[in-house]
Amino acid sequence: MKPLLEIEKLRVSFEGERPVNVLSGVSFSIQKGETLALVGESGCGKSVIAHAVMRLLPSEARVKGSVRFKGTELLELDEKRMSALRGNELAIIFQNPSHALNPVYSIGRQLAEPLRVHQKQGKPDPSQKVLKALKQVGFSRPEHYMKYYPSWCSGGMNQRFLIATSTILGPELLIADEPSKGLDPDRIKEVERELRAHPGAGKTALLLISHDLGFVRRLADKIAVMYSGEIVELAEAADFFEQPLHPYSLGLLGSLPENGFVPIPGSAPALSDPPSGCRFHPRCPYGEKRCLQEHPRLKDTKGRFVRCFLCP
Amino acid sequence: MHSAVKKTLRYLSSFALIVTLNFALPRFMPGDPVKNLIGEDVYVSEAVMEEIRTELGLNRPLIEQFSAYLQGLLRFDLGYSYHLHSPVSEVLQARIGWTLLLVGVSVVLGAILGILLGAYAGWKPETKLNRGIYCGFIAISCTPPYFLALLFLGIFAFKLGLFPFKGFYDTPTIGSVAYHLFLPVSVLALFSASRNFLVMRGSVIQEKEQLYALYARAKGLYDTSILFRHVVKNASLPIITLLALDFGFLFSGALFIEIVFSLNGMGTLIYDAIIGKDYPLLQGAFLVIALSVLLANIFADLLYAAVDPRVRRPA
Repeated sequence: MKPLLEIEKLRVSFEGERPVNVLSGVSFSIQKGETLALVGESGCGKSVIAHAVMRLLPSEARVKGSVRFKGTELLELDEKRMSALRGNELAIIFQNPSHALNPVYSIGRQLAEPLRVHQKQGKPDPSQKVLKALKQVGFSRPEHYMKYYPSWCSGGMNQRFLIATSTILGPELLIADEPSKGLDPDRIKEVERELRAHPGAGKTALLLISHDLGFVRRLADKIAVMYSGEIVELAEAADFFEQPLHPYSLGLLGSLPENGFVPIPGSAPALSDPPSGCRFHPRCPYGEKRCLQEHPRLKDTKGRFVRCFLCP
Repeated sequence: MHSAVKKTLRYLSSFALIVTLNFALPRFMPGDPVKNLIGEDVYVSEAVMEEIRTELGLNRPLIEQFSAYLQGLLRFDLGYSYHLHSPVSEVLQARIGWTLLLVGVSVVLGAILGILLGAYAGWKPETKLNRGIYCGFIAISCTPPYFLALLFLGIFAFKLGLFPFKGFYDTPTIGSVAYHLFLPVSVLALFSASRNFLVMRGSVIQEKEQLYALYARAKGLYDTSILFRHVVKNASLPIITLLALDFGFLFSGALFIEIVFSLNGMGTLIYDAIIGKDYPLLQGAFLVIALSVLLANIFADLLYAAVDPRVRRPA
């Protein structure tokens, strides 16, 4: 089956006095209805992938490689045709929901906007759909909250408004950028439920970006672990959580509370100055001599991909 | 509720301060008002002067004068102009309409023009056209309005002969009012627009980088629909404050423009009053102008609350 989204050798650099390579050749694909989670520490380039797919990177970003959505090369699409896809077939939920919503417009108006932008005139009143979408994300009095403004609501409520807005047209690919960030466990459960239960959830593929492995484990079909602008391990979620292969993946799982809370020593390298050889070698407990000199390739081992010399 | 009470108190104290200053200022001025009234070349005996002083109440203690002044204000009695031989309130009533028309139309036009052009210029500041407009408005905002008025009068009325030199003194019809007011309104509107333009442009440049603008794009909005459906309303919030602050400034600009174009409003009235030392009239005019600036600020506060939900609470 042809994948819904196919990313190949995606490279992104930011121009400046010294250009910074934030993504150095990322490839993965997502099938229809599948959930793929990108995990990794902050600053490893996860959000950049999300913005590159949506073509929302700032003008100083240089993007190379290929992003194909249903066979169409998104990187070559003009802005007009790209905006016809955005919010309709391709949707994103930003982190920081309280800033993603416009402070001076009502929730109802902002929720109805994708409907108004993408649907032809003469359709029935959008407010029915908006009410339904608000009910779906757990508001028992939706007509009341339609007249609210973002500044009157909590971050958790705004998060749900944002999910409702981005999913109101039942997109084929939904990108959720850190949807569990800054929420308490009960709210995270709700977000999980909403990401599964929105309209068209059955056919919507989800690109989930998170550093919360517990959250990811409950939602993802596939896991891609990122480190310093590249994928270091890509595997089925079940295999990954049963037996992680890359030393960084082992470290990530080891740092979970239920696995003993052992932090990975050191900190992630700056993208402007990545270490030579394997980018993880300064923090790797198993490093060998060649890890310092050679850059490992992403190898196929029994249906999963690992970027490490030590893995068979 | 709490902040509304606070604001009302603040406006009331401003009002009290304005009234007090308006009472005090002419009394602090050097010179004898009675001598002034009679004229310097005329000789009158001390007894006659004392008589006039009693008649005007100027020999009473200040506090009594102040209470008499306040009582007069409550009856809309602003004093009597000895030069024009009629009550100040009547003189002002006849003139202020024209000035308010000039200022009002100019403020509205200037706001619309400044907001629209400023929005476009901030959305794509790098285009040649927008850079040209930016330079033009900077130049206008640096030029004093009376100089701009002289320039317009020189070019459009004198050189090109398109508009009249002087204001109207016959029975006004809409056509003749528009004909006579076109140049003064253009000058004041351009000046007001230049200030709004500069603020709006900077505000749009700032607001378009906000996350909500990016999310609007992520929802599928295209180019200027992001500007007009999301950015403009946020970016024009500072304009509301600016309009209120500018109202007094534009009002004073209008006075000079009226003098240049010989319009029959407050400007020429105040000018003649200053030349003729007609203090009751000046005092009345200042009071009315100060109050209209105060009202403009109250209006801006109310408008702000209506536009920005962040200063409101849910019902």
